[in-house]
Amino acid sequence: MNEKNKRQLYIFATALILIPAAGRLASGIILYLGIVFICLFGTLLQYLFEIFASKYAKSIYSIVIIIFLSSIFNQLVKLFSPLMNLYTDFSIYLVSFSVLIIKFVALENDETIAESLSKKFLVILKFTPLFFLIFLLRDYFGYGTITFPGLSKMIEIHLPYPNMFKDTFFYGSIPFAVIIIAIIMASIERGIRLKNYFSLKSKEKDKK
Amino acid sequence: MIINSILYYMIFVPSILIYGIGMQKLTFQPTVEHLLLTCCKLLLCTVIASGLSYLVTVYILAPLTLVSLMPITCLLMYLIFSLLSSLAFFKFETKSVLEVAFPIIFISVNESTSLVQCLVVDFSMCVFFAIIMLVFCALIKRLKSTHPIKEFNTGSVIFISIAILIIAFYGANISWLTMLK
Repeated sequence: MNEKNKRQLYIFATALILIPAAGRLASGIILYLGIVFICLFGTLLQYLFEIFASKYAKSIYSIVIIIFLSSIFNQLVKLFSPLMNLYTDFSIYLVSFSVLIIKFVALENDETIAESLSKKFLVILKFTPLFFLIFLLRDYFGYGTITFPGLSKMIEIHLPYPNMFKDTFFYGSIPFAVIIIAIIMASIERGIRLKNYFSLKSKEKDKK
Repeated sequence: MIINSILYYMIFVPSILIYGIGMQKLTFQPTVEHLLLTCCKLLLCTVIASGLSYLVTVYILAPLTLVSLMPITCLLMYLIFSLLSSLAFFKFETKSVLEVAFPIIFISVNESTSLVQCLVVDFSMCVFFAIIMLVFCALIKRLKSTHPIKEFNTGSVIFISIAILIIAFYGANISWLTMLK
């Protein structure tokens, strides 16, 4: 696959994670922490399995590791704040089966732990801006607030909210979130295309 | 009650679209022949797996208050049956459907109150998945010949069509256009 298709696949796969989550930034932060948790401990556990077990059933125990870790993360969230668990209880299991997560836990041959972890965290760093941007927009258009997870109560920051959005509930629903994702993806493509165009133009000027 | 749940999960509430299950398969340009085989395998494995995991959770896990082990049992049942089916029908090669099957089993065990309802919900979600993938196959084929704006050539068009389908199926059920006050 050339670079363009790879990039589109990554953006598509990350955006698909975000659909089942609740529309608040707080649940987005907890999902993000869950993904980092699964990535980190998943690679460590898989390395441990490869030492003790053979490489025969590699794909099966990577899947079992993902489910096991997402269950543990669910219980940890329940321990710290039961309120946040109500928002993210269902979606953490659905999230953990996207293409990206399965790639995050996999180990390639002849790689040390440090190399593979650094590669994976670079990928995670690349998709964090998109992740938080989508949740911010969903939160603002739907409820007019920015929220952070709290122990017994969500910390809300109210922003000025135009009257046009107050009338209906549609702007906080799932189809509108999906439309936001589509617009953001199209504008990312446009931005990259413009950047390529300008860099080509400057190269031609340098030649002359 | 059975007809109620069939209609609910097959037509009125597109759980597959709302939770975004299986939409990643659209990036790999599905064809109709692949679809038939994968949907048959999906139907077989998930119906048996969801029935068994429902029985295990109700009769073994719930009396011991170990309900948080429910996802693991769903996954294990599905893995066992997919292995058995690939041994039995080794003539047909299909791609893996794990990312579609596990959420379907999980949702059907989570949201049902009796064994029959669990099987029925599972069956109707699989049928809905087959229908939706046919619709998307046709959409993608059509879009390739019309050359829309180049920036929309990526998944943007798929996302917008998901949104339109959700509104079409689900919009009559929820009153999005009522006033919040």
